[in-house]
Amino acid sequence: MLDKGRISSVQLMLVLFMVEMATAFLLVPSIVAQAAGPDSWLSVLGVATAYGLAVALICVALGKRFPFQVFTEYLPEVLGRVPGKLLAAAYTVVFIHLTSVVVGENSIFIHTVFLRETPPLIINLMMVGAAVYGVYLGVEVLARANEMVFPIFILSITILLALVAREIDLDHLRPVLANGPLPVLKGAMVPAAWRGEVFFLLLLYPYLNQKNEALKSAAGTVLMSGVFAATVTAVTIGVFSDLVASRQIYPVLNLARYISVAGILERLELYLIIIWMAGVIIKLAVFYHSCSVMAASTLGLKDYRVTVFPIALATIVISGRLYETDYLKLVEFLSKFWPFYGYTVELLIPGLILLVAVIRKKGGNRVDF
Amino acid sequence: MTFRKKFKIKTIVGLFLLVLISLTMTGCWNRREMNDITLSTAIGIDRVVVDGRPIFLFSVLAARPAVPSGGATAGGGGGTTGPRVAGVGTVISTEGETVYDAIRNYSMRTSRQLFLSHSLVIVFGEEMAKEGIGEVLDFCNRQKDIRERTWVVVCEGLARDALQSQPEMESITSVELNKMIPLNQSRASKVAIANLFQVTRDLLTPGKEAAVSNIKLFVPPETSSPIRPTGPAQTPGSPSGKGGGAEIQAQNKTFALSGAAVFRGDRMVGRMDEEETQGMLFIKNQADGGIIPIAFSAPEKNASFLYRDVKAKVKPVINEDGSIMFEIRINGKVELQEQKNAAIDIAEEDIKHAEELINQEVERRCIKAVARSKELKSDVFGFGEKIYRSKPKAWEEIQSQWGEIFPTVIVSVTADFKIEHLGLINKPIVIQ
Repeated sequence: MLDKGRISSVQLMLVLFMVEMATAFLLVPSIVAQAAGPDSWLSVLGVATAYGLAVALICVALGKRFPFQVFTEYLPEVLGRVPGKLLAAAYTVVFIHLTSVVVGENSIFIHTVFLRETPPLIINLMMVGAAVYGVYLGVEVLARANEMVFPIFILSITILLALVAREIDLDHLRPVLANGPLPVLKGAMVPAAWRGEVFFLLLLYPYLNQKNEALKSAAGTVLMSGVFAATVTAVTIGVFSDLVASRQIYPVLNLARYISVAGILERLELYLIIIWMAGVIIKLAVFYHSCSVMAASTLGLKDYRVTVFPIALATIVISGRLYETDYLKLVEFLSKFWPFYGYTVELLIPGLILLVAVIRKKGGNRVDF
Repeated sequence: MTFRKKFKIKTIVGLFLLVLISLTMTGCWNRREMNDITLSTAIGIDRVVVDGRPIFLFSVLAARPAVPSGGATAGGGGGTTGPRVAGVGTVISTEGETVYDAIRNYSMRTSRQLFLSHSLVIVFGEEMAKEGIGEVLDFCNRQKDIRERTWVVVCEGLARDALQSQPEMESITSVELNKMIPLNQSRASKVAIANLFQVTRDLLTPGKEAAVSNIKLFVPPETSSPIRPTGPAQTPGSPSGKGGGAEIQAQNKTFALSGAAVFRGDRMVGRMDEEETQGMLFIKNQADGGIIPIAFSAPEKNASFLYRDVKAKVKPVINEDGSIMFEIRINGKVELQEQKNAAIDIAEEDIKHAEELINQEVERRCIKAVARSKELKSDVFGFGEKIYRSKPKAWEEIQSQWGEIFPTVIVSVTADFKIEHLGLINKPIVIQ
């Protein structure tokens, strides 16, 4: 175990929540509404949550077998040295790519909406700098920092939704299941991939101090983010109707702009960017921490901190190359590739690894929930 | 020793960070100072033909930078008498082949960058509205400065002239309009009300058409009004002997809200008068307050009631033969505000009778609105949407022909208003 930190089950739950929701709340409603229309909230609440729970179950089962190792450390043990190391290396690359996507999401959002002429590199350097500083301090510090960010995040968005709630037209949420369950399933594809990010449990499990509560906190995260994301989606569609919301890139931003209380409380979109940045810094920090621990354990290094800096630079360069401010490329990735990509790395491969571990009787305890 | 050394390094690094952070805290990458921008408070969009080519005429009612005190106000020659109320706004218009082209052409006319974030109203000229506002709405939603709450109105004539008309209370036309539109909804409910988001949604939603406020310009009939043209008397409507022929300029007019401009698709197809608009607002649940005058056992109107808390329910019914009916129930509370010569006694049967008359009047207005919208073939009430929301299967079959079906639907309106208050006098004032 490369990081000596210890986190409690509640901290784990909140960290995983931020990993899932920090970016999803802004990007998901529009993508879901395109497929599921007025039923979007059902996609988010039902189908995506079910998928998230499946991922959580597999990750906890794997964690129970190898309670003091991260995913990349026990891969060689399960698959044999060479294939294990190869898969670990592949996973590290996948994580670095995912981190670059988050960096890209951030710079594109801020570029399109707020700072039109600030070079995206500057925005990225600031966000990544803050996240990397957290990674240097270790997982324990990240979890505690998140304990401060999480209530602000939840409260802010709740207040935001409450302020715009009087504009909700319940008619916009009808008809329910007009075209059967198929659109709901289709709509759930992209949010499910986001909710599957609970698979960071594979990398965070060893730090948990009460291992027997792992499933509780993982399932808690999935359910909590399900309710949260469904509320955001339902309010968005209730206010804007699915026809308008699906045409907006950041409908939650439009919600914040639409708030008008007594003609005084208006133009609250800057408030949204505070929430966004706080969440994304935590999310990025967890991503960088996982990336560097994976890289270090794959390479057999003693300290994960030496890999943080190169990885951070790599993600900035990759996101600059791939996305930078190119919204079209990002949305192509998010809506076309990300679901399948996500299902593979979140559910399929860990599931297979678990299967192999069970068959080859690797790892400690039996799976018992 | 080592401690001191460490401490020193920490201090230096800390100071360095402090300076670095405070430098970056000062703001964004680049700044726009107040004296480098034009604050747009209202936008006007017209379609005009120049040299045989249709182009966009984009006008902005800009908040004018502080006028030097004591400077000459508007008027110039011609011997201005008395203080003219010179608005703090100034209208500047540019032309372009597309809307955004026209906006960027501002840099050829003025020294300041246009800043649209504070636009309160988007005014469409009549020709523009008739030709289709789809492109403009796309533009307004696409770019980030214009806000979803900006009011959308249609004017008679050119939007550029509407922006130049003079406000009567506020210092600038856009602020006056911005206050008038919601005020009317709670005071009279005789003007359609829609902001940018609502218009966009109504255009996107199948089975629903948009209706927005309509404004008209006129020379204030009050002779003391400072807006009226000075110099030779030119009373509108009255035969003006000399001064003759000269068209009255927009800056000598003021404006008023007047009914609704009704769209089919993105094209304006006609207008509704105040009564029809009120009927429409009743059905759309947007009538927050207003007056219903009735004729209580008299040939002319002799009592008025103020309505509040109006709720309308629209229930689509599809009969077995395929004909479509809408049952509309409107509930509300009214209070007596005035009456002539104790026409209404407070006796129970009189109250009942008055309620009946109120209901009849409300129903008449709603039916009138429905008739007008059928005439215009524009489903401003969202009846089609109601079918979609409650009977999606049935809607799928009729959606493509809704345009033809709508004028044939049967609409029944049942109003149920209750008299609740009588004001401050209990017994009528009887003139002996």
